[in-house]
Formats: sequence, C-alpha cells, structure tokens
Amino acid sequence: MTGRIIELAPQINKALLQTFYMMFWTLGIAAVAGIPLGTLLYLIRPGSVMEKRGIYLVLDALVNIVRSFPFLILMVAIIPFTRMLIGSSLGTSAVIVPLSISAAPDFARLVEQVLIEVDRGAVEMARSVGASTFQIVVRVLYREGRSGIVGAATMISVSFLSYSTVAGLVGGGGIGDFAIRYGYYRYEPQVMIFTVALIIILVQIVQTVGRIVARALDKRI
Amino acid sequence: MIELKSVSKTYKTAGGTLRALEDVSVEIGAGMAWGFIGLSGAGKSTLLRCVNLLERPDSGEVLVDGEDLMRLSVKELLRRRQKIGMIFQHFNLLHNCTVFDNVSFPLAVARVKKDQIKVRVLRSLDVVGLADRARDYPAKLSGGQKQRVAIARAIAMEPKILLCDEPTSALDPQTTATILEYLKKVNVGMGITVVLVTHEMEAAREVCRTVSVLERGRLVENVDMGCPHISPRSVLARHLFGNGGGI
Repeated sequence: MTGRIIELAPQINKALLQTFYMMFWTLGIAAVAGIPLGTLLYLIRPGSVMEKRGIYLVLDALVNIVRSFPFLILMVAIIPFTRMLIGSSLGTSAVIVPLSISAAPDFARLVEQVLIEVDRGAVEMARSVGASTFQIVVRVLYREGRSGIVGAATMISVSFLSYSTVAGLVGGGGIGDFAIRYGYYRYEPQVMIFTVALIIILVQIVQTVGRIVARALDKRI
Repeated sequence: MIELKSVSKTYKTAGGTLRALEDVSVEIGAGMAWGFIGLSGAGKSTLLRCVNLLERPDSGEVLVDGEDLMRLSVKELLRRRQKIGMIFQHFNLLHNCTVFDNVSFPLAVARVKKDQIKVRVLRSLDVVGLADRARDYPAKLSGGQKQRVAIARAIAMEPKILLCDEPTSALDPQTTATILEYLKKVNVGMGITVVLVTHEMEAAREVCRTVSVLERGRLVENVDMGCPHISPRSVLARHLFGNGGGI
C-alpha cells in the first residue's frame, strides 16, 4: 500500500491543494457575505434593535430556500450563472461559485443564532449609553459573539469540506474527487482508505484549531 | 430635572393589550434621589426606561432639563443618553471585555480621546474601589464587584442623572448595603440625580428622599421619606411600608 501511495503522492498533493483552494475561497466569501447577512437578519427580526418585519420575512424565506437546495442540484442549476461569472462551468474555480452560494446563507443563519445568544442586557446597556446601531454591532454583538462566530466558521468548514467532494463531477478536483477516481473507479481500496483517513485528519485539524481559537476568545468563564 | 407628563404605554401581548403605564406624571428635581416602588409588574421599570426613551411612551412628554426627548432626532437622542447613566439588575457587563474596557465603553461610544479615557476610567474605578481590578475579566468578579464596575461605567460619563433598575435585587443583603452606599455617594457626593427602581423597601428607604408608589401602571402616591412620620394613604403603600411604618 505504501508504495502505491508514494507513487500517487503528486496527485494527492495536487488534490489537497485544490481542496484548500476551494475551502479558502468558499469560507472567505461565505464570511464576507454571511456575516453581514446574518447581522441584518438579527437586527431586523421581530423584537430586535431595528425591527422590519416585512423585509425579515422575505430574507428569512430566501435564506431557507437557498439552504434547502441539495448541493448537487444547486451546482447544476446555477451553471449559467457560474459560466457568466468565471467564464466556464468546469474546474476548481467554477466550483467555488456554487459552494459559496450554498455556504453564505448557512453562515448567515449560524451568525444570526450566535447573535441571538448574545446577552440582551449587554445590548440594552449599549443603547442606554447612546450607542448607534453600528456601534452596537461592532462593539457589543461581534465582541460578545466572537467565539460563537469562530464556531460557526468551523462548522461551515467541516460541512463544506464534505460538499467540496462533489466538485469532481464538474472537474473541480480536490481530495474527494481523487478518492472517487482512484479508490472507486479504479478499484483501489487502499487508496480509498488512505484518502478517507486523510479527510478525517483534516476535519480533526479544522475542528481542533477552531475549538482552540474559540476558547481563547471566550472570556465568559 | 426630569419631568414625565401624562406618560402612557400599552403593550400588545398574545392575550390582548397590557396597559403598562397609565397617565403617569412625576417631577424629579435636579440632585434628588427618587424611588419608584411597587410590586412586580407595576410598571416601575417601564417608567424608568421612559426617562432615556429605551421605552418610548405611546403618549405624554418626557422632559429632561426642560427638553422634550420625544421630539429629538435619533442622533440628538443618542447624544442625550450619553449624559444619562444607567445600571441594571444583572449588571450588563461585556463578558469579553476587561473591567477597564467595560468602564471605557460609554466613553468610546462617545468618541472621547484615548488619553482622556484612561484618566476618566481610572478615576471612576477609584471611586468604587476597584482600580486594582482594571485588567480582570468580569468572570473573576463577585456580583457586588460587577455592580460596582457598572456604577463606575455610568459615572465615567459624568452624567447628570443615574437610572438604577433594581440594582440590588440580585445581591445578598451585605452587598446590597455596599451598593446603596455607593449610590448615596453618587447622589450626595457628586450631585447626580438618582432614580431608583426597586421592590425592596429597605433599598428605597436607604437612598431616596421621595418615593413614588406604582400599582398596575398607575402612580398611586408620592411619599416623602424625609418626614419623621411617614403616613402613606394608599393601602398598597401601607402594605409596602409595613403598617405605615415609622423610620
């Protein structure tokens, strides 16, 4: 088995790099879009700082709709959009589009939940000293919710590591695609086992780093 | 000087409407220590929160130093709130901030200069005897210490008014006494108007010159605590004071 793995090392390396590339951009875009969206959902939800019931219901439904798409279907459904954006619907960069579109509302929902968990008393205190909505968001919500947001990013990373394996279908590559091509199509169970073990280790690393960072940021206890 | 004129507030609840405040008028002179007491649900916290418009009355006027807060723009209102300090039953400290950063919070919100912030934070912490805890996180403090940090936070802005929403209700009797001492210090020593909401008669007796008794959203009567013989007229007040209890 070791011999075969060493033989395939260049391919494995390439696949891992592709996976990291997909994860990096997906997480980045999901955070850039999801954190503001989640914050907006929190702010305008009924009973919150700047309640806007109508807009909330529309956004809430939109988030749910995108989240309910099975990833594979979403990926295929938005091919025209991806082509317009990237110039192609195939390849690693092209997969980032559906991955991000799928991850952003997930991230938004998690952020909304984290902010709901922030002590309402702290928000009330901030209002009492004349903080603007922007100041409340930056100085209270993000500061008090920061370890929760790191936790959300960790969860997104793990679940989209799994989604990224579907990328192989549109030539996206990555470690999941490698497992399918060598482990399954070529009947090389050792390669499959090795790859799955690699993914398990990856998830463990992401989870552990996430936990350490979240704990370091949390001063509640 | 705080003037609440015919303040009313109604909440919509699942079971219909709840009249939280009905036509309440109070006039609190500058430098006074004023109490709102009543049973839970009487509307005293709602009334207190009307003073800085955390709660906006449906009708009536809220005047602070003759200015109707209800007519101000949002921006103006936020500026006015900076001069009205507030402390809470559950302290409402930021858990992820040190004691120093908690006290500096309102100063940072008001965009006070960094060097100024440092001076004022340390001075405020000194008043409540916690200057040596500036670097600690709230999790390391006792309940009484947390409330003292909250008081330091409120006075760091050098407010004209300090609103206190059940500040001792989560504390044991001994700690309560300490906090009430600090409130008296804030009122008498610093000349800040103190408005205290409480359901504990002892706390009101300790700090306040005058107490408004509230029942089901209505102001029943104002009792002057300075009189040698307090003689509340209403049944509720007599109950709260314990048989018209002399001090």
